Amino acid sequence: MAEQSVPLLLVVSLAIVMALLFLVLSYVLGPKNASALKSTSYECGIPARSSVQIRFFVRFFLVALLFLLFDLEAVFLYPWAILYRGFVEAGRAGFALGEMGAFVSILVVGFVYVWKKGGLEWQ
Amino acid sequence: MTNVAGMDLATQLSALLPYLVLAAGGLLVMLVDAFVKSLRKEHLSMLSLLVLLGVAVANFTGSMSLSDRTLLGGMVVNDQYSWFFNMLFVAVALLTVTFASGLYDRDGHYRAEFYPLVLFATLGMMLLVAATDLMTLFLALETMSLSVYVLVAGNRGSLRSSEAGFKYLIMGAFASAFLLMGMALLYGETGGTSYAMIGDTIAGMNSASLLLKLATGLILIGFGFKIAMVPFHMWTPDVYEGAPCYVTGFMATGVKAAAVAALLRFAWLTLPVLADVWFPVLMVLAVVTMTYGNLVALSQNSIKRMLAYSSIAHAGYLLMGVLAYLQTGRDIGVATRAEEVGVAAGGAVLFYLVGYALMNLGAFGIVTYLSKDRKHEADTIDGYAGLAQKRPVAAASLAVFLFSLAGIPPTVGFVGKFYIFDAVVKADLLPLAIWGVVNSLLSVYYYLRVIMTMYMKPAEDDSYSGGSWETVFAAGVLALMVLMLGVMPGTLSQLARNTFKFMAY
Amino acid sequence: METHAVETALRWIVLVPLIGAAVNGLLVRRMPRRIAGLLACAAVGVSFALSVKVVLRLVGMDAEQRLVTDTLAPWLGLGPLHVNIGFAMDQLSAVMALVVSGVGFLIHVYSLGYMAHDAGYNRFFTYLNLFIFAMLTLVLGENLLMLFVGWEGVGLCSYLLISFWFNDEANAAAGKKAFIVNRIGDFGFLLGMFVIGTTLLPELHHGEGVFSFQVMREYAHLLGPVATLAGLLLFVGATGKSAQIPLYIWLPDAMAGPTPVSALIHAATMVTAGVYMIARMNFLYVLSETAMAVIAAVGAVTALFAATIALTQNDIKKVLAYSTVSQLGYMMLACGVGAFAAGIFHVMTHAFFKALLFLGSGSVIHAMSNEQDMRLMGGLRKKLPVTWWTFLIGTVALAGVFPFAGFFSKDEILWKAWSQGGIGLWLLGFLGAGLTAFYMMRLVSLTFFGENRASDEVKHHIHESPATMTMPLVILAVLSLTGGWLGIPHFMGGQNHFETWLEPVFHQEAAGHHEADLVQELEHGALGETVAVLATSAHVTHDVIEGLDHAGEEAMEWTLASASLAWALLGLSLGTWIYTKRQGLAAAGQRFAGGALHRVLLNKYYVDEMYEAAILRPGYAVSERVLFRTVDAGLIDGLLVNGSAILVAIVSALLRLFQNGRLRFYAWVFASGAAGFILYLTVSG
Repeated sequence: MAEQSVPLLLVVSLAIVMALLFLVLSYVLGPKNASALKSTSYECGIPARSSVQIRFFVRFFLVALLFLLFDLEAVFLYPWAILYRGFVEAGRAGFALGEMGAFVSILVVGFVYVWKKGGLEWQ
Repeated sequence: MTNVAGMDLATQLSALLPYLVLAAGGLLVMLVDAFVKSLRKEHLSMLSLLVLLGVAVANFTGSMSLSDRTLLGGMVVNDQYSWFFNMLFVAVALLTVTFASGLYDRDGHYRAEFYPLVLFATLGMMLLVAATDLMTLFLALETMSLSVYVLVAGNRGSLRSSEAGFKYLIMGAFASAFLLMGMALLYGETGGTSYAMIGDTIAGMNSASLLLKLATGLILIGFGFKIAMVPFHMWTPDVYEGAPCYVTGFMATGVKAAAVAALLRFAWLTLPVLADVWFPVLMVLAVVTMTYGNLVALSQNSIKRMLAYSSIAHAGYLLMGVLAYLQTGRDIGVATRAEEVGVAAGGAVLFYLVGYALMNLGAFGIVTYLSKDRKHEADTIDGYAGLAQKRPVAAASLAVFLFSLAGIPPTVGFVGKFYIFDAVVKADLLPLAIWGVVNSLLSVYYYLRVIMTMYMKPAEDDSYSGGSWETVFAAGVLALMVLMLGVMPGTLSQLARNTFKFMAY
Repeated sequence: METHAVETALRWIVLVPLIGAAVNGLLVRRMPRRIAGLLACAAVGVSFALSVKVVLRLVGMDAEQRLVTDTLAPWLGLGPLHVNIGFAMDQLSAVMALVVSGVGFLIHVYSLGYMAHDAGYNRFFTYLNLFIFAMLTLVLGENLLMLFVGWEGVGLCSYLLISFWFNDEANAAAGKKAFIVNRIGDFGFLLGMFVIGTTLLPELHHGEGVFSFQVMREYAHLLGPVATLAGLLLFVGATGKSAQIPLYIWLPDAMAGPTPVSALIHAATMVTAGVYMIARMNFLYVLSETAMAVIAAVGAVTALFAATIALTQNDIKKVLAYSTVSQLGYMMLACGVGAFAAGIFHVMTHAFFKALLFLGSGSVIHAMSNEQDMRLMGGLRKKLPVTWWTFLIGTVALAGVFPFAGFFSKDEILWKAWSQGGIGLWLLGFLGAGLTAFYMMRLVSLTFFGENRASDEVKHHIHESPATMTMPLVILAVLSLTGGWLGIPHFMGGQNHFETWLEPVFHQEAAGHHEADLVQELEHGALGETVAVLATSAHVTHDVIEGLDHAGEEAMEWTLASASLAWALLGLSLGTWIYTKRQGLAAAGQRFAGGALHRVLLNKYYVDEMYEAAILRPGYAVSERVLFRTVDAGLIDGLLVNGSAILVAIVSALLRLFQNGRLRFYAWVFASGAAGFILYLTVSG
């Protein structure tokens, strides 16, 4: 028990100590001559003109979300396709096909819902 | 995966009928909403109620041939435990739909997506309790959580509601990450994701390995988030206050019950070697949770916020029951009467979950009933002044629920607390029980404040007034049940004890 | 199937009056008066009919198996503590149920007339029905906890009905007094129950109801060590409910309630609950000679004590109230000497004639425009013929004149007191019996004989009561005559059916005590010590001994019975003679006996004043000066309540600050909580 936790503890405490050490070092060693210029966001380069949090049209977000959703779920087809041969050999092809059928039809229901609700229209 | 445990598919599917009906029903409601244009607002709620009744019937007929059955190659199990909670969740969902529809009627606008989301969330809860594999557990948890995130933000146009949904989503994702990490570690340690395998591996251990402790600890954090255990509770007040009141009721009763039920099943798995590890930390957290909830509830002016803190406090009481159960797995005196104490503790928790669902849902039902529309909920306690004259039935019902939440006889809340404290004392944890009693005394104050406002203060112009009759009727029935179970708890407590006994022993 | 119907009938016996009360109570303002009254009567009538039905079924069974049970639902299931909501009727409950519903029905009918002009008519019948429900729960409950529920229920109804006319301060005070005194008793009852519960619980099998009478009886042998304690604690409850020394003081004041209430609750049924409870728990009491001796002594002393007070009271209902206390003393005496059947027998006959007497006094009060002072009555014999005749029957029945009901039951008690208790107990009872005859005749003479002493105004209104009131009187009069014939003792050639009927209930008592009783009986008998030696030496010789002793015993019974009868007749005639012919003699008697003694009796031995001086005033002082001013106002309110409230408020407000609504902070709390949690797990064990 104890042997197990020693390395872990060491790593954790080392991380904490290191972080603190560098913070303290920079605070102690760093020259402290503050000026208005120094507290601007970048000491070098171009000053920011607007907020970093830019606005974008919410439709993009919706489309991105839907894409992600259907794309990700399509990924599930790959492992299924690879395993399918095994199912066929075990004589359970119908079962596997049925499972995937159920999965896809649930996806289709979602798709139809989005479509009918107007989620795919730009306006 | 191809192994279907010696049972043909048809048998398995018939055992899974409640879940299938609910899933199909949810999809159906979605499609009806999308396709039928000439829909009137009550149609969807009717359809949802029908679906839920169908689930209840399927669950009930399933109970005829009830025996422990491992289904889908060990992913879920069909036992009395899952049967018991299925009934509870269906009832909670039925009432939530009734309450929501009542408010929609009054509001004049309705949100069609509410109905499928409630159904999917219910499906998630049911599967969460039935899960016997970490995969199913996580999927069920996410099915439930994702639906509830949206439900919380369901009050569109209300900044508070959106904020609540957002906070809940972020914090929920955070908690899920912990849970998932815990599951990954557990898989690494035991080499399997099914409960059976994990249980076997753990039973073979002499003491808990570090990895196992970490894994279960992380999983516990995930559950602690759902049941609003301190310090994972911070979201609770904001989310409970921001969510539409019927959704808050749904969360406070359904989600919490599901999480506690799943936690108990999981705790049973790890009991032999981990009870000692979990016990001290959970003990501290239970004490802090109930004390914190009760203390902060004292200074609330919003009834939803007050009930949110009360819900935290009740999580503490429930944890006391879980602790009494954990105590039986420790290598101390209690172990000699482990079954007796364990059944008392588990039965008490199950009983309390049912009682808590009745009284808390009822309280939120009355809040819904009194709300003018979704933008103007009956939230500030001052608005309850003079309700006893204006709406005697609603006031009396709310008084019953609050008395029950405070644990005053003859209500189910009293009996439930009594069972929990009794189990805790049996588990040789007398100080904990005393602390629980002190806490209940503390809580009486803030519950009584609402009752006093209703009964002692004169009505004012801006006092709340009633809504749809279905809501107050349902709440009245709940109030009667709260009283009836307070006087005659025998049957339910027997059922709860047996249910837990079959699950754990 | 039919047995099943009989079983479910049992629950309806109890529930129908509750339904009646619920309907009347919920619609109290809207219900037309006529219907409310009829509904209440009908509800009790149905109960009575169902009781008869179940009792007939009992009669048809084997003597040893006479038991009908009806379990409604499990009530409590706390580990080993298991209590059902259920009813059971055996021979004992059968007698009580018949008396309660039967006499209750007659009194309901009577109330239709008596309360006809009262504003609270519907409320009255609601309470009355509620009372019947509670009382039937008490006598039919299958376990001690159900009995206790009924016990508290009748107490509540009694309180509500005593202060029925609550506008009068005195009535409200009387109600409160009854309530508080009964609480003292109930406290003892509860403690007794706890003692039994904690003794039996560890021994039971799972699912056995610890307070079920069947189970307790089966495990009675385990109760031996605590029998005295539990028995006496329960008896404290009985002294409260059945108005025994020292808790009898509430009953005379309870006469503030309407007269039908006095008849039903404070004479015929509720006050006998204590006797019923002791008879029901006979298997416990036979285990403790001490408890039995205390009961017998308290009963006998109460019987005489209350009778002496009754001699001097002027309020017609107060006389009857003290008479009730005295008669309850006889019942307790019977239980105390182990003659439970005789006690219950007296419960029944007493219910008949005391209800009759109270209802008759009600009829008198009704006629006299609510006058209750006997000194302002007189000469009512002619004007109220039905009341007069029935009242007379009730009086001779109470005095114990052959062949009226009271003779058989009281004679049975006195005989058992003699044969099983000793001469001292018998003498107390015997003296009381004579006084009973005397004070009753005093009452009758002052009320019905001589000239009417009321004002002309009142005289003008004197009238016989309506048929709804006289019919119950007549029926009760018939019962007061014939009710005793159920238990004609063996020595008179009767079969004593009543005792035989109850015998299985008190079986253990018979088995356990038979030998001791026999020895005791014989020591008083003619053959005395010789036989006693034989009895202890050989069990086989029982029959022989009984045969030998039989003649002597029978002779003794004859002697005692004749003595009682003569004594009662003497009392009756003295009472009549003094209070009709020789009014002066009564005054002289008072002077002769010393004004002081009379004053003491008139003031009821100053017991109320003593309680006031010894308990109430010091208690009040402590409560006011110490508890209220110092402890409550100072310590609790000042320091604990306000102090803790302020503390809690501060803490609560501080904790509230944590909830600042900022998600980042929430996540931070979550993460540090999780970090702490994980850190603990890594370093622990």
